[in-house]
Amino acid sequence: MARFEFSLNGEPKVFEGDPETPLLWVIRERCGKTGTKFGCGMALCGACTVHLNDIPIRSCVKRISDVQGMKVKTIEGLPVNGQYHPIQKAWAALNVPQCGYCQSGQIMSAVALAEVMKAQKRIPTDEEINVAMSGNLCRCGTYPRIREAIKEAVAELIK
Amino acid sequence: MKEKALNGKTPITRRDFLGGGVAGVGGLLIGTPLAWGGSFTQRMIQNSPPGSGPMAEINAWIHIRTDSEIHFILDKAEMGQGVITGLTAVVAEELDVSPFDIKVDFAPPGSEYGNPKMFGAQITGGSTSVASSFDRLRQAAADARALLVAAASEELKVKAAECSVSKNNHSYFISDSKSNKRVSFGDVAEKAAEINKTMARSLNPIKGVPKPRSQYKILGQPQNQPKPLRRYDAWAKITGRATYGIDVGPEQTGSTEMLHCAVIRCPVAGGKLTQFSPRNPTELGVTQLVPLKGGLAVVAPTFWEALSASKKIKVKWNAGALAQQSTEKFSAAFRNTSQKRGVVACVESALTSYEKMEAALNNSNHQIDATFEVPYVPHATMEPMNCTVHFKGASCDIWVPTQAPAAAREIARQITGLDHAHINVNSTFLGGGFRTLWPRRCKSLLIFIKNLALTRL
Repeated sequence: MARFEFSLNGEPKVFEGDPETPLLWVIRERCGKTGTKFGCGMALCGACTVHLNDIPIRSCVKRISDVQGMKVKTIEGLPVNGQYHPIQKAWAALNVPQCGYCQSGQIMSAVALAEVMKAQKRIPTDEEINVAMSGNLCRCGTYPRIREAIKEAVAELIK
Repeated sequence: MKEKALNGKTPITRRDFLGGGVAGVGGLLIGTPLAWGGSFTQRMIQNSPPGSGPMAEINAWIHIRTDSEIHFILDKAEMGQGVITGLTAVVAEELDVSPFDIKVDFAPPGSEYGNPKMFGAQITGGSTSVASSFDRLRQAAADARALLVAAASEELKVKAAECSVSKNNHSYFISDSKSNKRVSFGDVAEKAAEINKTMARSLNPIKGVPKPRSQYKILGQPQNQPKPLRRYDAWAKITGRATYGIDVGPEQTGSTEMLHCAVIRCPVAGGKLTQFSPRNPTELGVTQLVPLKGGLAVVAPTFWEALSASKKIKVKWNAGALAQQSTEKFSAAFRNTSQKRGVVACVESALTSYEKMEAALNNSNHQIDATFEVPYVPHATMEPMNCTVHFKGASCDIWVPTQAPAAAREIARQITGLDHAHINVNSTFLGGGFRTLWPRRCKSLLIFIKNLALTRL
């Protein structure tokens, strides 16, 4: 039994168990946060995307031993002082989700891109969005609205 | 795929194409809550706190709590097609309330909920949801409104014809235009439900009259709505709060003691398990190993433990007859078939016009001969197949993301021997549909769960 400490959405967490346990299952089964989804378990679909020290990663293949002392943020941790992230607001305004299963992962990747663009004070090109979002699959095909929502949210962020 | 006589009279149907099937591989998740506490109520999918007061069942689709919380019982599965938004809007239109002031519950199996466009079975599919529900829900909501008005007119001792729905913030009332007296929906909900029950024997049952389209304020009226009309479930899905089958846990089951299961499946459909090792679950650190006809179930306290253990097990299969099939063979069969004269793949009605088509082609100056090939598409959903079952001996609770909850109940009846009244099927959001979230996929899981529960009890 190994012991690992990390923070989840700002709260300190301790995990005791198999160091090989993927972060996804620690989040879902030990911490009870089910907003992060299990899709393929092989880092192919992106449904499990979370932020690790503000970088989007696939939590289904990230061992808990590699998360020691780090900051994990999930979809539940996006609101700041009760305010949803501009990406979430744009997502709602443009009716992005359909079945919704991939959307937590899509939003986590989009938020990371939006924050980079905020620093650069510019709206991403379609190509940049494609590259940043390429690891997140959507079986319903919400891609055009995702692209539109990212542009709208970034415009709001750099206003 | 089995070859069929291609004499033009037995065209290859889509069914034949799909019949061979692609072997299911991968993890299945099964929960078996072992302890039970508290009663389960149909999960509400909005995130506001649950209302208080008893629920009055006005009819099969409209339930209203005595605190005026309005519930719409949605008898179609929401799998991304947006039916939760569309049908809630239909109900809201006839009730004269905002769609966003309605709480939606996914319907349990029920005789009222059959889909007339799906042979009367409680099925969501074939793009039939709005077509099969529109008139029925308009009538149900108009009836509910008429019953509330009837109850209010009795309560206030005023004429029903002078009563209408009024709104104050997010609360709804039946108001009398003459006296300005009013009662809330909740004040008269139980009375309205009572009237509905007794009027089955009445000569003049109270029936609502659905609005003419010219009076619509919501349906087809985008100018009256936030632009565009917000998807009812958008926020639940943007904040990670929507509950899919795979998310069912203590909040839904009322239990923190739940086992999880990963199933190792034969890579070929119809294949049989012949050997596996190790056979001792404690050697793998799991709770139990349960051999199934076409797979091996690995049971552990968490899904990750079950899944990681399943990768350490050596399994031998008798793959069966379909093992000889391959993408190359499919492709060769299709190419071969396409070279044959006559109709080889079409709908029945096209057969009669084949001669005409051939004549037209022969008379044409311009013919195109091309081969198009598309990959065999596995209708895999983003949400892995899953099912949560609590088998309690005398009753059985099931949580499953499915397009056919009544069929799930029937499968459970056949396997457990319980009658329908003792099987509770709870539907959740579906992470995709594509006809794959079909309860027959739960069959082996149910068989196994029953065995497990019997073994444990």
